[in-house]
Amino acid sequence: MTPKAQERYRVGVDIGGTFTDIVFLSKDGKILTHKLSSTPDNYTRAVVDGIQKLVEGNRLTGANIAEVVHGCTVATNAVLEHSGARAGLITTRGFRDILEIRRFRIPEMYNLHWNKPPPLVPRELRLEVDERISARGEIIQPLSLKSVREAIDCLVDKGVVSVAVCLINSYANRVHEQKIKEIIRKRYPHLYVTISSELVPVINEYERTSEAVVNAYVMEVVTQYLSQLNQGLEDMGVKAPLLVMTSSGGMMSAKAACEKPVNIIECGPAAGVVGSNYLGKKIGVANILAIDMGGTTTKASLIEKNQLSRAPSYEVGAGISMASRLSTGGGYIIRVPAIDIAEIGAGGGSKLWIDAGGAFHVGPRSAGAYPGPVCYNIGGTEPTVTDANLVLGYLNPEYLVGGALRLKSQKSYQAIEEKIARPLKMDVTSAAYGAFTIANSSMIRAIRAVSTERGRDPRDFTIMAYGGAGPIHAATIARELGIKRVIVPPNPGLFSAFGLLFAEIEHHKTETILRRLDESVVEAANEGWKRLEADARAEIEAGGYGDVKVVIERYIDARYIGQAYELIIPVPWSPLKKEQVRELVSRFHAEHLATYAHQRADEAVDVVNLRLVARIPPVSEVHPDFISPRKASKEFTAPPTSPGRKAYFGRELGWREASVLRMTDVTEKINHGPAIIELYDATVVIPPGCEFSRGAWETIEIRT
Amino acid sequence: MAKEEYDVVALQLVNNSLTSIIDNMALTMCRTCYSHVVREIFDFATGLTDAEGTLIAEGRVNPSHSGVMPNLVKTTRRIWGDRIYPGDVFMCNDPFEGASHLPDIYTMRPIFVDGELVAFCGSIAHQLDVGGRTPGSNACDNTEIFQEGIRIPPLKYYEKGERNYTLFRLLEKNVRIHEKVLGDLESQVAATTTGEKRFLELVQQWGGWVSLKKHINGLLDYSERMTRDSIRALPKGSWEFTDFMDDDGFSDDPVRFHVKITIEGDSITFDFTGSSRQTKGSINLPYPSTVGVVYTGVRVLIDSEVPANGGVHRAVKIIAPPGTVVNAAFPIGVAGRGATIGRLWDSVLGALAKIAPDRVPADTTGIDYGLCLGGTDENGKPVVFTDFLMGSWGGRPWADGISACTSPWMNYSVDPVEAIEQAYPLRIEQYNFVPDSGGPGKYRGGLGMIRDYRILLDEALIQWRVDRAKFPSWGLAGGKPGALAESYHISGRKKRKLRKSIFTAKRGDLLRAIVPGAGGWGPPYERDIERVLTDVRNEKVSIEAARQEYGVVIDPETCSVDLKATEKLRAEMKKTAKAKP
Repeated sequence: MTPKAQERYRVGVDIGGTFTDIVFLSKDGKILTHKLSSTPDNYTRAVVDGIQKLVEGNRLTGANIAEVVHGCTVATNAVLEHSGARAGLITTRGFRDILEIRRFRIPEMYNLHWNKPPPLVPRELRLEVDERISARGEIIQPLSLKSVREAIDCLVDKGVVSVAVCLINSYANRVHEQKIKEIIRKRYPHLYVTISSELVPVINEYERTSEAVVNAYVMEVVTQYLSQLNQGLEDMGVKAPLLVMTSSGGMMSAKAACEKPVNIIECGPAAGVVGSNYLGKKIGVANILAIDMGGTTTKASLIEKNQLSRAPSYEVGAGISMASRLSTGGGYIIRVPAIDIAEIGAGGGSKLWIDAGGAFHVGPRSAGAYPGPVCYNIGGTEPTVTDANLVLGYLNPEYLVGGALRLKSQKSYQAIEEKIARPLKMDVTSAAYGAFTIANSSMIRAIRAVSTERGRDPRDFTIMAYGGAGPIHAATIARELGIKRVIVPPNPGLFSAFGLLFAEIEHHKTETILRRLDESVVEAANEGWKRLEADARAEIEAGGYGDVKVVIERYIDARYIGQAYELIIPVPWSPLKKEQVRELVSRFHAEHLATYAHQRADEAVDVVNLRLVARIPPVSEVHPDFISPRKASKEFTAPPTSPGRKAYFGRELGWREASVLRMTDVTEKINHGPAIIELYDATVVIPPGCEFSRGAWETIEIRT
Repeated sequence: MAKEEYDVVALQLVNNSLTSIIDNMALTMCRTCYSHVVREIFDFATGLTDAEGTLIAEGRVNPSHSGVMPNLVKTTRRIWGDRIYPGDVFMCNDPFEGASHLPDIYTMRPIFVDGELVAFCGSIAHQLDVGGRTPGSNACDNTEIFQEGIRIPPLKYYEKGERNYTLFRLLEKNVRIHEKVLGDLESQVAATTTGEKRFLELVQQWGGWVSLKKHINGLLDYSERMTRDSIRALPKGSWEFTDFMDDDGFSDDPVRFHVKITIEGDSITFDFTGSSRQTKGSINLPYPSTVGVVYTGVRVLIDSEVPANGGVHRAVKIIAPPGTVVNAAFPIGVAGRGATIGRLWDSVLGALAKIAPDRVPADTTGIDYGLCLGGTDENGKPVVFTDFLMGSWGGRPWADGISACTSPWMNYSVDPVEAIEQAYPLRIEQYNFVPDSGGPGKYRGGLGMIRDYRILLDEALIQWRVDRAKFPSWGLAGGKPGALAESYHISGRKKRKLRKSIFTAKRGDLLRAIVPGAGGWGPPYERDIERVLTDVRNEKVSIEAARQEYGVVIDPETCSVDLKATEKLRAEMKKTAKAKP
């Protein structure tokens, strides 16, 4: 082989708790992948090693890399593990405890063992300054500079390295917060500073304080991590820009992420949704339910007309109670733009168990990567969903991950028999199928949370199923919900890393306006958007993306007067003209009708917040128009067992002989289930009565 | 689909679906409501019952409403007999026909399958105002129900899909801020529309009502089994507890709450005989509110994941003599019963702590403040503001009480300061913890809080409800009580201590509410020294209190513990404690 100097690759790097996934994608659609164990002591090591390995193994050099896009979990981990910086908080006099008082509500109603997540800044590092601004933004009491100096000196004395500032009503007037930032910068230039009004200048003091504190808490670790990674890449001869995935599914430069790391905190699940949407656009699917089933949880997100859905807020560290939007208070709330994702504790590793009352449960506890499912034979004794899938014949009885992982299927059978079937007086097959069905119904709850509960009918959508376990369950779930079509993307087990390569650079801005949505708002709104646009452009400038084209999108958060919850409505006109307001109002009515099945066309509407997204669309030659068929070397390499095996599909259909296929066996010709397609990193189960074929972009299409 | 074969599997599937339906109903309300009481405070609920009123599922919102729906279904069916039709939506707020207090308006939609009435789905919200003599309709110095607002027996707000014009207009004319109230009612109705739609989908999915009902019954049996198993594991016998409210807003007499919990076999009885006669002031509990508290008490004894339904209730018996403060009899007032629910909960918790001492925390401060403000703004529009101040959890046998945390029976949220200032002529000037307010203990009780309201209205009519100003939140196992509630009306230089009352405040006046602290668990001198030091560093406990209450001697200069002095002091404390009976 000769060096391929002309080949330029974009690189996606996704770090999970267990594995680091790396995907190289060239302009002409060539894919190189590598999966290796994460290195939690220093995550950069696995990233650099993994890239190095692909570079060397394919006779490339650092110069072949055009761009590195990274889904970075250090910020999330710092919050979950409470390993962030020693941070301080400055508040208005009388409000140092806002952070700890929170909103009172708890996610587990009757659980007396529940504990509040500890505040990221303890009380001794929360200090007050004299000042007051009214709800209308008037200065009622000027800022006492003396109190500011005293507070900062005290925090520095106590060893604080990062300071968050959140003053009451600063969303309406940020002048005092800015002044405090200025003083800190002057007095202690080495301190990290976060002011709430620069992150999300939106009403509600607890939420704004929480955002500022989370940002301050993770700023140092994110900055250190990204500069280390940059260094590692440079040492390898990679001169390409490092971009970081944001929670909204966009990207920002590493530099911008260091300033506002709060934007990247929920980026983990975002990449797969972005990838689903990109793939959807390429193959002409506009309405998508993106389902990502991993080892511990399943995540669902809804894409409508190729638009991602946004969540108004989410809680970091709230765990797996996210499928119910009423279970609030479990984590650290953040209102930066994020993709709306529901998560539930059902994945391949979820344990099967019976409670004292004889009820059969699946999850939310998981066997994780270690001790793992019983069949992995590395110490797990409690049966999991994966064990059930093995008993049902869905998984290859001997190998997983292209033959790299040997399984002991007999152990799965024994564990289910002993722990579930016998106590419940069922046969093993019924117990396993019961577990499969219960896991499916949990996943359906996550799907309902993003569809039915938001007024969307799941039947109008196509499922995009990925994650190691997603393609096993997807077709059955689709049937249950009346969904006609399921698409399994290429490399479903590595799809998040893949998705990173299809994000766009995005900077989101919001401010509270709270005015009637009529002609009188036009001037203030245009001014507001102008301000937000200037802010966004300044961030883009500072992000160092070079000379790029910026596309601006505008939105309003609107509600009926006196109502307490807003809907986000796009505003396609700029500047907004008086005669367009009527149309905007009717779009709000229509959205309200679609979401809640009723509207009040005679009632006035308030605009609560202005939103703006500044986007840098990818240059057209960056993304390939197709991807090359996967090389055989990355296919399932285990010795062929038999052309088919028996799999169980419920009592009516019973055990059926399912054909076992490799991707190379799947063609454009329509085939019929039952069938099992064994891929390198996932298994696709096609129940009897379903049809399947190979689709564009190396996808597998299932018609239920 | 091959579902029927697996009953235990079906159980989980149906449970998942019902939870999703109930959440869906609650979210519909959350997102379309008009009042901050629903969206920010979460004082609302959703529920599903069968045709007889057995609770099938309840929403994850405010559990104190769970006693109401079963009752209301029974009353409604008795009154309306066979004149219940698809498309009807019933409405009721009358405590003497099965509801709670007048601001809580219930809506219920009957669900029919093939012409047969099979279920009801309902929603309830605390409305901002239902008329009556004080804004917010919450006054605790009412003496009869007729002062408290418009009384609605079970009536049809919608009949066969058509809104009842008469009832609508009558409501419009009888409440202070009708846009919000009628808007919220529409949001409640929308929740029942959602509930009906999804329930019917579920019926279809299971191939008809007969088949679904079988699984729902299975789920009820399962909850009952889990509940009875938990009860059977408790010691047999009777345990009693008494707690008090300061007064009823008229006399200075304390109001007594007495409970005797008896465990026999696998059932549990809550007998409130011995509680005070109903009081002149309207702090009396309508029976359904008492029921809600009892069910919450049972819930904390069993696994918190057991489906919340009528199966849990089967193992429970309640004795609440009519005409007492726990079972108000017509025509007494009940509007101010919010704090009372909290106190009844405290008495139940106290008895439960005797039954299961290792599982039950010291007293929790529930909701000892209710504030209603009424007036007219600069544009002549009526202003009605309601605020509830919650407290903290008591010390637990295994951990500190959580500061600023909702009591299990309500699961409310607190209204943001900025949202209040944005919408009402008020400024909140502080909202912080109060040092040394948490009951000392090996596991400290949660702290009390201080909240100041500055009045920015020329004249405001204030209804102030405060309790725990005389009887503190109690400790357990040697833990000490929390700090008392205190509240003031500060007008210029005049500072007046407040009790339950109605009064006028002027522009610039300050209302100060000091929320009581919660009780501690275990002897304070056994508290981990490091924890005491951390509390001192965080100014949750003062250096003086560290010495006096916890026996931990801390040098104010270096903020370090004098171990020798501490050991000596603690030994003395232990000795004194042992000497006392």
